[in-house]
Amino acid sequence: MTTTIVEKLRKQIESFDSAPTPEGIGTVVSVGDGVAEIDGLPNALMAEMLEFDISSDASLADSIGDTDRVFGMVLNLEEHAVRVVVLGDTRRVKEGMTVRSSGRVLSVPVGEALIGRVVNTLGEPIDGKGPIKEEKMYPVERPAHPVIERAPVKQPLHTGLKAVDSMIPIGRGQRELIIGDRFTGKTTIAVDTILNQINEPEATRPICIYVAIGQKESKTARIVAKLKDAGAMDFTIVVDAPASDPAALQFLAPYAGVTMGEYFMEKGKDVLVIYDDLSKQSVAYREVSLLLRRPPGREAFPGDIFYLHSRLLERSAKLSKELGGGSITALPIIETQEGDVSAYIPTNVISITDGQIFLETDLFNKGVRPAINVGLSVSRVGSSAQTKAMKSVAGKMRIELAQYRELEAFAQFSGDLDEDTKKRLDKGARLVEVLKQPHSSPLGVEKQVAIIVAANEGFFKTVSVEQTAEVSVKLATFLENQYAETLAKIRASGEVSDETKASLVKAYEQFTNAHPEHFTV
Amino acid sequence: MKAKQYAEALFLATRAKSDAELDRIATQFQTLLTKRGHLALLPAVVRELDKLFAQRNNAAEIVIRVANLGDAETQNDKIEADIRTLNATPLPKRILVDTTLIGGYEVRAQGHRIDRTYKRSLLTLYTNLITNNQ
Repeated sequence: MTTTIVEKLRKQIESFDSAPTPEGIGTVVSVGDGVAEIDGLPNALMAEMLEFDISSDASLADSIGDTDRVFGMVLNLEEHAVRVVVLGDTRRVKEGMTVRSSGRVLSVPVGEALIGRVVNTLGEPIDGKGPIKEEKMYPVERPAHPVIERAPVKQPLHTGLKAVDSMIPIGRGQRELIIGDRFTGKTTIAVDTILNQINEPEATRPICIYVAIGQKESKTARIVAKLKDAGAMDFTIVVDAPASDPAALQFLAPYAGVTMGEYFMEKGKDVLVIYDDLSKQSVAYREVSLLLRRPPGREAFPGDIFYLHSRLLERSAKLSKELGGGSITALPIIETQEGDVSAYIPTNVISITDGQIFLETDLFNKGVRPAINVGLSVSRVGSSAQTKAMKSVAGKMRIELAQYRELEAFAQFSGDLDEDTKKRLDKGARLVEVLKQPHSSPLGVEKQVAIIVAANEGFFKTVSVEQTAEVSVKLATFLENQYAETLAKIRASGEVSDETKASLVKAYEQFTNAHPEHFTV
Repeated sequence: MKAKQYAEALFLATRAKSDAELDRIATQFQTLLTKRGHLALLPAVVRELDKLFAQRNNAAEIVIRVANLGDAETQNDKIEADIRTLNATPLPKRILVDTTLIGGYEVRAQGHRIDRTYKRSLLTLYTNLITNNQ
């Protein structure tokens, strides 16, 4: 073993050819707050990746002991200097240090080897599982595919959440914003969507990329552990730019994530990218822009803050058949303050995306989880991205819920109600309960359809409102165990045929007889 | 920051000017600083101006770094070849000694560098070995 290694090393030393070529260099004039001013670099490109030569003022022994490289990215090209954001520990950069030009814009590794790994913005592994053998390097800034290369969004991406898949359906290639105050379940919806992809057949299962921007490392670690326990890390990449990372790495992380996704999309695969969250990316970009002395605009954000998000989200697409038919579906997350969706960044991102899922603190506190305000939430793709089965059963739900909400407010102040109003209130209350779902429990689309059919058939009419949520969970388990064939038929055909419906009705009767304690109203 | 801005403006204003014009600019500049109440910045402006001139001078010369002075003579032919590669032949040369380079030489001119030092070669070899054998 030792001999083999020695032979290997000897061969490498003998074949070593330093052959240095001219390289563009500059000198650090000043450094502070994560930004370095460089003199020289006459041919610097915008967004070019530079390397700070840590060895330039150190001895060989010290340089060998300190092999971690420090990179920077050019963000300002001025008449007499180049301003660079340091993508690493600024304390290692000194005045007078030499900076080497790489000749290429900032790039990240892409390829199958990234799946199952946790990496930082530069694509370097941070999960302790060893180096990643990248297939290629793609630049983080790439133009979005033009209109002519795209196809309409028609294939559903199932989140596993009844409230979303029935009334706010998401298609592959769509951008659907998840927006709400802190602690309203935004990340939970995103993570449950990843977990639900386990229910997808492997051939059509999307590669998932979770980009954590400015998050606590403990939160990201919990998410990774949850994905690992569920087996979801087998098709997921996590890009982590925690709050302790420099602002430059935080604002670049979403671009790194979508770049990794584009590799798979251009190979004809489907990808789901979650940006958690873009509010923190905006703050990081504002910080970098102010340090670069770019003029501040509204709320001190730079003038190109809209472009920061638009060029990111435009890279999500459904490609045409000629280009392989792959897609990137984006679930960007935005955190609002006190439910203010009319603030600057939320309105910017709402205008870019193809719909939003709006989460409310009031609903969350009332126990309605996921706390989705169905009235304010929308999917602009709509039922084009739903299976026939779901379309046929979920069509009226949104209207019924809207009517329920109107009547609910009215009923608080009214004494006597007519029978019709009472019926609508009862049905609406039970519908709200049916749509509740525990976290980390995504449901396959066939089970969702079966439960909604049950609700439409009046199955829950004789169940108390308080027990409805519990009974719907038990019903799902019962169907999975006793009527797996029926569910498989719904999944395979994407429809609810008369025969399937009859089978479901029979299942409901069987369940009712088996659990009479729940049907007491 | 303001001192730097003043220095940059002064640097641009004094380019290709005669001695008489330079005197006039200096006097007017001092008057301007006094008018604006920024006279206290004058020492800082002078320091920034010195830095700017040094940067421009560095850009207008060839810097040859060697581990010891003798290397500059013994490897003169190779150094000249590299200077021609960098298209920097007419520029004045400045030789600096840096013992951490161990041996060899480095040529810098016009924002480019050719590094043939032993230190660089050994570091590259080390990096290749640990990367390829991980």
